[in-house]
Amino acid sequence: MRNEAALRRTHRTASELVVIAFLVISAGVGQPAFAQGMAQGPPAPPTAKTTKCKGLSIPPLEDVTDKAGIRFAHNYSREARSILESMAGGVLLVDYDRDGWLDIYFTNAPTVGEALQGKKARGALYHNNHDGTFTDVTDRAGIGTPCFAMGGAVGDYDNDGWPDIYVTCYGGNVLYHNNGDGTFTDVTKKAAVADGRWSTGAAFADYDGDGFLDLMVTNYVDLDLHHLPEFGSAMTCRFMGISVQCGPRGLKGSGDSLFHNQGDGTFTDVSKRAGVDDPSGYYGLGVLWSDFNNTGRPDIYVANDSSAGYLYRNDGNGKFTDIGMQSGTALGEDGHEQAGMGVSVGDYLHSGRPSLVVTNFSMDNTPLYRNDGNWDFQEVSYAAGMGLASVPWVKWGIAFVDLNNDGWLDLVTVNGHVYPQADQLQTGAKYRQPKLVQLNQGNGTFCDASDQTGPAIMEERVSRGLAVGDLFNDGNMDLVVEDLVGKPMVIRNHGISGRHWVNLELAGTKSNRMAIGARVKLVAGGMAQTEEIHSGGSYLSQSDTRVHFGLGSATRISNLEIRWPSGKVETFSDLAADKFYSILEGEGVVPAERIRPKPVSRRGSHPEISATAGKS
Amino acid sequence: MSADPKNADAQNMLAQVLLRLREVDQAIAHLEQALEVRPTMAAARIALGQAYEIKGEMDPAVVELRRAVEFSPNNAEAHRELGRALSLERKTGEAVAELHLALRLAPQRPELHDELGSLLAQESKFEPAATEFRRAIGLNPQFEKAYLHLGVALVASGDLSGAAKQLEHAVQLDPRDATAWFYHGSVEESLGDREAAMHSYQRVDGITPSMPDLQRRMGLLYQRRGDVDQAETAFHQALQQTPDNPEVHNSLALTLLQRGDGDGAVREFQRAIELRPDDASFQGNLGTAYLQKADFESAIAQFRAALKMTPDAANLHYDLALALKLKDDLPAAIAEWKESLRLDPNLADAHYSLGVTLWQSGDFPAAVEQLREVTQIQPQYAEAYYTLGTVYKQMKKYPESEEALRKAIELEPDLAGAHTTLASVLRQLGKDDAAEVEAKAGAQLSQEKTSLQAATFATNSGKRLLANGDLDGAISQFRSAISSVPTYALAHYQLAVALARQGQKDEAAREFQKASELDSHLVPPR
Repeated sequence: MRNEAALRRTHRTASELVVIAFLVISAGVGQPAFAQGMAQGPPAPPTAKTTKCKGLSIPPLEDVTDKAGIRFAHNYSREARSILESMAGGVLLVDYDRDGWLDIYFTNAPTVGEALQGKKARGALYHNNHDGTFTDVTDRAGIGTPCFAMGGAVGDYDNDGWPDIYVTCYGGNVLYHNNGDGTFTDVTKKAAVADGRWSTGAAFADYDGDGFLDLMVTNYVDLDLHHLPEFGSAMTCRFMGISVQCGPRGLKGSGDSLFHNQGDGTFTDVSKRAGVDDPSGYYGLGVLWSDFNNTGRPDIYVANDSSAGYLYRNDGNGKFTDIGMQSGTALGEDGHEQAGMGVSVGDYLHSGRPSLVVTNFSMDNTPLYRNDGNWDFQEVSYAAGMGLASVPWVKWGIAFVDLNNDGWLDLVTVNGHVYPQADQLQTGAKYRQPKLVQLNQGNGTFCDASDQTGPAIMEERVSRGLAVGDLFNDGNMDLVVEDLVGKPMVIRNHGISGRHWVNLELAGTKSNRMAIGARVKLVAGGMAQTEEIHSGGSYLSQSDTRVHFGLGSATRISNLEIRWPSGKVETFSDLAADKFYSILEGEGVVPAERIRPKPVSRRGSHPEISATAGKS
Repeated sequence: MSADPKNADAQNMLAQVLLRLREVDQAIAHLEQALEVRPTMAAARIALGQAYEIKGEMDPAVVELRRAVEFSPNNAEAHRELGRALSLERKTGEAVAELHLALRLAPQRPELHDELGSLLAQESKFEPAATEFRRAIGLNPQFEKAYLHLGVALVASGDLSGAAKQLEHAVQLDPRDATAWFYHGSVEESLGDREAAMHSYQRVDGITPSMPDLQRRMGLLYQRRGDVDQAETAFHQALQQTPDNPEVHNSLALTLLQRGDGDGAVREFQRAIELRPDDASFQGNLGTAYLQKADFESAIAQFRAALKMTPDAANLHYDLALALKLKDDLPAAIAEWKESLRLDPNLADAHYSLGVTLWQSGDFPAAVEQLREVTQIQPQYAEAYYTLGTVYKQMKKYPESEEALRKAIELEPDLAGAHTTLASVLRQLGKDDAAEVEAKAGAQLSQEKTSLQAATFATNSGKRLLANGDLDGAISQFRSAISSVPTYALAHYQLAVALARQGQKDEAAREFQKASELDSHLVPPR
């Protein structure tokens, strides 16, 4: 490995030489050419290449934001003179009214100037009308202005059947209890989950198997709104010779929090006891839970900006051990620290083991940590053909998702620079950037389909959060992208004709109600696929918690095995494809209404919600 | 100290004092002086014999005691001391004979009966030993040691209940006798009364914590109780006393497995194996530890190693099959289950696991065969009937499916999935009314299960609010829990507590009544 690394450093491609020449000219002698404090990554190996997709069915991806009636726009600062104004933009998919259709919650943040005046920025909750359109129900829901919001996660922390929303914020997070009648109540204080620092990522999971969802929260930089570092004032406030916002390098980082759900409406901060409090104060961003080694206990991955990532192994006694270094997931392939931002897991190889991707800054590849079992991961992004295409972009939200329903998990990444000032540079770096769609070729490699899916993906934006889910209940996985600047993008996946699929909604009875952490293994058409149900992940976002599998040409599922978080294993056979199944722990496949709570009726309920409640 | 060398009595008395002061050599000198003056002096001979015993010089001790008996054949103490010395020399037969002679001379001395009983017990003659102990007790009902010895003899004879009674007497007479408590505990353990056994062992721990095997036994009881922390502490203490005891390492490892400390368990099993490499059960246990760590390769290797020692261990083949299944090697797993069943056709779990795996592999007839076998071996295995019914349904054998599912429900009426599947089967059979009944039953059960989740949370919240003095908030939570699950006894009970505190006595009384009707353990506070 070391010899290979040395070899790679001595070989550069022509385009890389040009980039470096520009850096020297524009940066001036002695000025460091890194941004957000990040050293640029090592050059790609000479064998690295990007393959355009050929011979694969590529689904059309259409921007339907306007058609869908989405009018939300993220607040933004044109100059983003503070790092506080660059990091927000998480988006959550949540069926808040349990009618079987995904709704969307967009978070929002004020500018620094607005925040100093005490102003808030309004987020938006959009109710899915089941007809391709959405309605803004924010005000009625009471969820519009929680805080200086970054992103969040969804989890039913009280197991009442109504998914609750946790919003991460600068200066105090908010836990919204879903009242079951279209409204939410801020229960943060009672639950004691405010944290109070600059929180970014969040994810629910039941780490101790007591049937209640616990909560992991990452924190970024320790900043005082009234004493922000001055734009361009230090070495860590310069990028390729120009003045930019400062940080995160050069700024003090913040530790992370793990809140244990006491099962009575309150949580206890067990961060230190559990060993996940991050005393070094790395700049925590994306976070997710996954059972990496099939122990039946969820582990944690934290993507840290400009520093090593954490892979916390769940030791089963309320304690975790960071094995990021030993496992090979802490750093890039050559051992360099990367700007870890978004994170996703998926069994892209059909090995039965979840592999890990982490987005990061430009001039650095998105590492793909292939899970080889026994806590051993190999960074294979270049060998897998997806690394090189990722290098030019500043990457944020990312998701493993089967876009073309062939049974193999593809990759979607959304991008956008940190600095509006990047547009001034001669290097070609731009503030607005296209997205990346990479299709799994079923042999451990990916091909680039970005410019073959339609104009939506190639449209240059300043994107941040990405959530994936079947918004239109047609068996195709759609994308919702929240941009930092302005409008989001709701992308409808028109799928591939003739391809089959299945969608499973799980509900725990002994396990937590949303079955977060359940592992589902499906065999169809000779292929075995494995998925988990996750809260959080991507970049500060929440995807559909229903489990979607593409089945290719298979019209029946020969075997389905569910390992519930409680440890119970249930097996089902011979299910038809192209259906939505509701599965209740201990009972099996049941009608949808069996896993949904009865709506709570209150005076003045929204007529549209009342009309649509209970219909599937 | 000095005495007239020609005065045998004075010399003897001086020697007795010196013996008590443990000035043994000086005592011997004075005793020899006394015997020079009066060779037939039995007391001096006996004392001289005892002096040599103290010095560990058994041969001269026996010689002197024989002379004592020779010179004083009617001296019961002489026979007794000679008997004691002979028993120390492991000449138990002769010792018994001397005790009999002593008893013939002094039949009313309870300690002689007790000592004879002890000698007989050493020769494994437990019934005559018990007789002697009973005689000792008959002569002195406060003779604590005799009760202890009788208890031990009865244990050896297999009369555990009798032993328990005698040992109970012993500990009542002398609550500080650690040995008596130890045997008391071991008898209670053998009788299955683990709590009583634990209590007895804890008494020993309070008196003599270093009693051999105590900590190991306590550790095992803690382990069975699920008290992992205490078990671990006890085993560690046992290891301090006997660091090379493989059984203790094995037991500690099992406790660590219970706690979920796979790494610790592996270490301890490895140590046990180092100390006793030919123990296949240790090897198998190590495999289980690897399984818990999800290190399937190592688990498989370990089970295979254990099987090399004991190829006919059905349970090891079963464990190996599980590991192979977890590694998704279904054909190998199936082969191992089949081997385990060849060795032990009554292993119900192996039939079940094999049945499910065959079903997953699509071999329905073979799956049915295995699942039917489970129901033959364990007729109360509801889950097996449920799975069997589901497989039959998939084979479109609806009458057989109905029969199996109804049996599952008969055994476990709360099996919601069985009701739902049965409803579907009944519809296929055209029995729509019956299908409706089952569908409703399944719906009701699953509704209760999901509601119970919310009800549990609401009750927990209410208890917290109650503890904080928020009565209105607590009452609201308990009512919410009850509306979710009207039969949730704990919610009724807690509501009653809250109402009582609020002064709503009548409603509180009704709620207490309701709670105790639903769960008789919930008794209103006084």
